[in-house]
Amino acid sequence: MADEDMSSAQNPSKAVFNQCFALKVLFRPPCAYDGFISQSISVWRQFSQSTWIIGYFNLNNNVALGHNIRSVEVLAAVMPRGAKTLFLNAQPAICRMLISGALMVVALSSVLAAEPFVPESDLDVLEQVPSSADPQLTALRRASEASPEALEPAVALAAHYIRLARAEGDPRFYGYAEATLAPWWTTAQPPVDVLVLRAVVRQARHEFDSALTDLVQVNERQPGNAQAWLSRSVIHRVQGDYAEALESCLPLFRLVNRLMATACSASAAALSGQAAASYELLASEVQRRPTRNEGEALWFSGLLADMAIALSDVEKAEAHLKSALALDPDNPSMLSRYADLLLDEGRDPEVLELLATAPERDSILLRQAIAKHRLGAPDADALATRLEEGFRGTRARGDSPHGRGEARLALELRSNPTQALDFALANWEVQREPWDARLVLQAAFAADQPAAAASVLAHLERNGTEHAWLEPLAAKLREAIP
Amino acid sequence: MNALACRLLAIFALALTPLALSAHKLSDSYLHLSVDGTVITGQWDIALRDLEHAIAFDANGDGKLTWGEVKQRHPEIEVYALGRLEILAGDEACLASATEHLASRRADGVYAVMRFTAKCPEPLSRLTLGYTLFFDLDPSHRGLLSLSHNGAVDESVFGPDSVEQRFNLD
Repeated sequence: MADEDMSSAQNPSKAVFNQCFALKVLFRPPCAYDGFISQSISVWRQFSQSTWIIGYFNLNNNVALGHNIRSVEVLAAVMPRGAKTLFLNAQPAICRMLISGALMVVALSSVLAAEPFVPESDLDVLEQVPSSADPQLTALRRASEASPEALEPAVALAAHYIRLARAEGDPRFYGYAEATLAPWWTTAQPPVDVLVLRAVVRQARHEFDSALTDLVQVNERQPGNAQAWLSRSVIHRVQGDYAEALESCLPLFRLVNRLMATACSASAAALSGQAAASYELLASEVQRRPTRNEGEALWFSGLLADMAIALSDVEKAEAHLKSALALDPDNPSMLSRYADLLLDEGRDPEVLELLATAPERDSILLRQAIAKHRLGAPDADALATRLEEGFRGTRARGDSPHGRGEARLALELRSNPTQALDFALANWEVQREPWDARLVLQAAFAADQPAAAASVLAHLERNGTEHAWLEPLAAKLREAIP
Repeated sequence: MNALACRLLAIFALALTPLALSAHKLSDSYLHLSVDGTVITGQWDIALRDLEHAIAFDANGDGKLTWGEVKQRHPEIEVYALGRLEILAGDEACLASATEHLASRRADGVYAVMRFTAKCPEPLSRLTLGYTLFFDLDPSHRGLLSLSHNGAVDESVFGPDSVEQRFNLD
């Protein structure tokens, strides 16, 4: 697996190559696991970044290597503040070599950690699996296993798995939910409860069309199912079908509180020519009738933040995001939104502060990598490589990575706008939110292929979409298209 | 910078050990098989999270899997996993048994590593593999196969829609 890094990559990440080179200099092992080295070191760094300075040093800092690479750098293990200065001033050179040797041994040990090993002690904790300590889950599993063909216990268990999938950001749980509902999953007319859950799983997997089919069926049998109407509206909005999105919100005015229904329609109207009016309407409704339901409050804050950003109102957007994070400090999608806002404002160091204790998600790692890249941090490359390895792994298993991550990584971390454009256009086929449009426009512009952005530009024009992210770029691209 | 400080720094550096963070991915197992005459040597890396869901080794229910807890279930892991991997030389079954149990750290968590050998009744020219691990519990699980024979390596993916695969080894 890691061998592919060296042999097949056209542009092996320089940091990885350098580290491998450093290993070769000291130990001459075959460089089979350079990917693991950079990954382990960056992991190490992240673990300790709140209290330590990272020192890095040149192994052969005065040696002209005659290659088109920077002088060999090895990421130092964590060093206390004083040590960095000490080390950089260290004389003689032999002392530095000793320390580099020690650090390379440590790096090597992290390589060996990826190799099979026998843990030293029976008490060594190998893995944290919170769900195994979840008494509710155990009870639900027992009930379902006792009668696998019984609908109610299966639905209860599957719903619990879906909650866990969201809470832990672990997509396995959607698979567990699917397995639990297996007796009904492939039947012609599954029970409504199964349809609802299946739609959630499909939506999570970005299978939007089949999720919609399920939800339409739900509403045919349960016209009063508000959640289904709302989910339909969200999917239509994600797919850029604002008329259908608005239509799906209408039943909500009879079914749920007015604020929810307003939020639903405002979110669609905001992207189809009513940006300012939608924001004003929703903001005033939320203020007038604040909700005590935390989930709803979070959702409103997110919508308002998105609308404010579209209107270039950074101050208001920040206020909405701060109130969302006050409710749920570890909410990955709020953290991602806030990080994007900060990155667009050039407030890169604040991004790292914001995400320092964020949960492990690819979306978070990507934004950390972008901030680090801009700040010239030594492990930005390793983070990018790690994300790329994740994408490769997804392809290796026969899936395709979801949407935006690959495009944005190619654009912002690999300066490869042509590849970014490919990913962005493929993503546009699946989802059409402002971010998805933005990636196509940015990549088309950077790759000097304005014609490639034609379908996105047409979509924006057709819908009268007003968005601070999109207008300036769209104008430039339209000019450039003959 | 004196020699003592230098030495202390070196010791300090050695004292630190890297941690593997887990960013969750979909469930994959990694199956390496190497064919030599009538013997297949195998190594199967299976995520502890997945095994825990199937076999449940968190003996004290504290949400942490220790090596001791995993070790106790090694016989069960062998039976569970090898019972869901069918190896046929032609039409004859090859019997597999575990030789070693270890662990390995990957980007998305710790995996149980089971090394095994399978003895086939005749030299292998047509190999059929049937893989059904975890599909009943998680249809999104995939088995990533790497098969070495005569210096060639075949790679393949097992999924619920492709549980059986055949290889001509000549």
